[in-house]
Amino acid sequence: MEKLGINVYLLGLQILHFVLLLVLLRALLYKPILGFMQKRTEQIRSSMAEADKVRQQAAAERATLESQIAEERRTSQDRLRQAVARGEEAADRRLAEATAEAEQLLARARAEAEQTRAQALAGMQNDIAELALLAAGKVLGEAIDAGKHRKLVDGFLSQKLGELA
Amino acid sequence: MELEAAKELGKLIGAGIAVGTGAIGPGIGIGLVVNGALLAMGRNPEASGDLRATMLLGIVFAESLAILALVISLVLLFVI
Amino acid sequence: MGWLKSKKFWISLVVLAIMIASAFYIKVPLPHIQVPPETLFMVGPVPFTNTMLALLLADVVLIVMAFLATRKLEMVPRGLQNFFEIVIDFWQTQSLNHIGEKMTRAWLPLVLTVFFMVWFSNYSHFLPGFDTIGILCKAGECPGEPGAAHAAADDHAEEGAPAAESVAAAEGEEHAAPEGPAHTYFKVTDWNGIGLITERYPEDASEEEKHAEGRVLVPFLRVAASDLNMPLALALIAFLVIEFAGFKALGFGYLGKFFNFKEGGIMMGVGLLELVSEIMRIITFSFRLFGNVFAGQTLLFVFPFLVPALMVLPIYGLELFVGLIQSYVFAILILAFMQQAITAHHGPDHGDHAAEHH
Repeated sequence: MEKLGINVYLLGLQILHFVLLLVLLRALLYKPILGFMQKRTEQIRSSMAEADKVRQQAAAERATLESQIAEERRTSQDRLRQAVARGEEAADRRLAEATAEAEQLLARARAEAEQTRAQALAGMQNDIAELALLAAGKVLGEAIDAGKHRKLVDGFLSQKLGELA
Repeated sequence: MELEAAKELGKLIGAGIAVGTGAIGPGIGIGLVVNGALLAMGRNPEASGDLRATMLLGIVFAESLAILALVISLVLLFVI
Repeated sequence: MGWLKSKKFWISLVVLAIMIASAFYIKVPLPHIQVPPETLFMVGPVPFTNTMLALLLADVVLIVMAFLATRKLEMVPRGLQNFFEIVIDFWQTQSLNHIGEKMTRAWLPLVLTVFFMVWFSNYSHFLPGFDTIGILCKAGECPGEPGAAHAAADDHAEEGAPAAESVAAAEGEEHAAPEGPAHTYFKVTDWNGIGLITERYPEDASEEEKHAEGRVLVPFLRVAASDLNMPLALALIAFLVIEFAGFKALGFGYLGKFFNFKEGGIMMGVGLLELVSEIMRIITFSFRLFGNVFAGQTLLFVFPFLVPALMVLPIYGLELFVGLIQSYVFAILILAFMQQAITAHHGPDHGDHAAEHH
């Protein structure tokens, strides 16, 4: 054993050295570092939990806000839709009124025109009939009975003018 | 004196044979261990950390036989 | 001819040339390789060896680093604090995986201390001055050797008869010396109490001449684990701790692992075999570390002797690897064996034990 260098004193010295080193390093290195790592782990865990809480809160707030926004949007859309409907209704009504007025005006104008024309036609028929009777009287020499032939001429003229009209 | 020389010679030869032959088996064993571990790592690379630790342990166990041979040869050389 | 232009080729050629040239022009002595550590001085009966000094040096480095790392702990670790945190966290995880939380609290410091101590003392080998700077003394008269005792006895000449005896012993030793262990002798041309190695003895010089005039080197520093006492002390501690943990976890049922008479002859044989391997662990534990480190040291001696320049660099790389692996293996083996010791016996009654635990 001596030749392999094993020496009882040295062995004891080494064991003593190891124990001393263990105690020293335990106090100097392992305790601070392990304690610190533990502390850090706890701190990270707590801050993670806190962040989780904050995130949940934020999510809840966000949900309420979103529902509010949705509500607002819905009401505003409703309102918009109503306003549009109302506007459209008003416009329709106004359009209808205007159309009706215009049609009225048109009808009146047309009626007036028709009347004028009818009057004109009637006037013209009279004149032509008189003229024709005069002309025929001239030709036939009073032989024409004004009353009797007048009906004939009027009938002819009204037929012709009716064709013209 | 010749007996002494023969003894010395015997010690040297014995130490050489002890450590030399004693290393054959562990060598093969370590090769097998590493072979298996590498195959497993290739098949399942996610587990390579665990496999490496276990492989080292296996190597160490195989190696202890070589160490016993080394002890024998050291004893032959220096103690007897 | 593309290889003529490649940089790698020329670099390797130059390296090879330097190596070959150095083998011719630089003569590096092969230091005396011995298993026991060299004694620097005696404290009473206790020899203070160079391995002890190297171990204390490694301790100082470790403790200073630990002190600097823990002086100001920061939430975001940097530098030394980061280094220690990574290592400690790694071992904490390993320990939790192997022996559980309760045991980890008790034994983690021990495992960590083993790891750090072996690692730092192994890596201290890379400091310059290891194995190379030391005392030059006459063979047989170095500290801790019989000749030194004779010198010491000379100082205390009053002691009389025993001193005379030791003188005679030293004389006898001196005559027998050339047949003893072969030392590497150095020719000291300038000896002013400090000592300068200037040359090696020529190879044809006679042993007697070398022994009479030459000095041998006792280095101040030598890797701690190349002294068998340190691995053996660690192995003994590990063994005791493992057995203690086994007893603590399983009570006297722990002995049932080794003395198993209930389940027939085969199990009895297996138990006794386990007992033998349990005790063999002390030897394998210590000699694994010792063998690896001593072999590395010897390699570092032999390679410069063969090729003085550059050839030793790969060996240094290998030593970096081995130094770390051995410290890892030592610590992880403690954990693995402790796990084995604290888990109940794998037998037919295993299920019952498992049921008890739950």
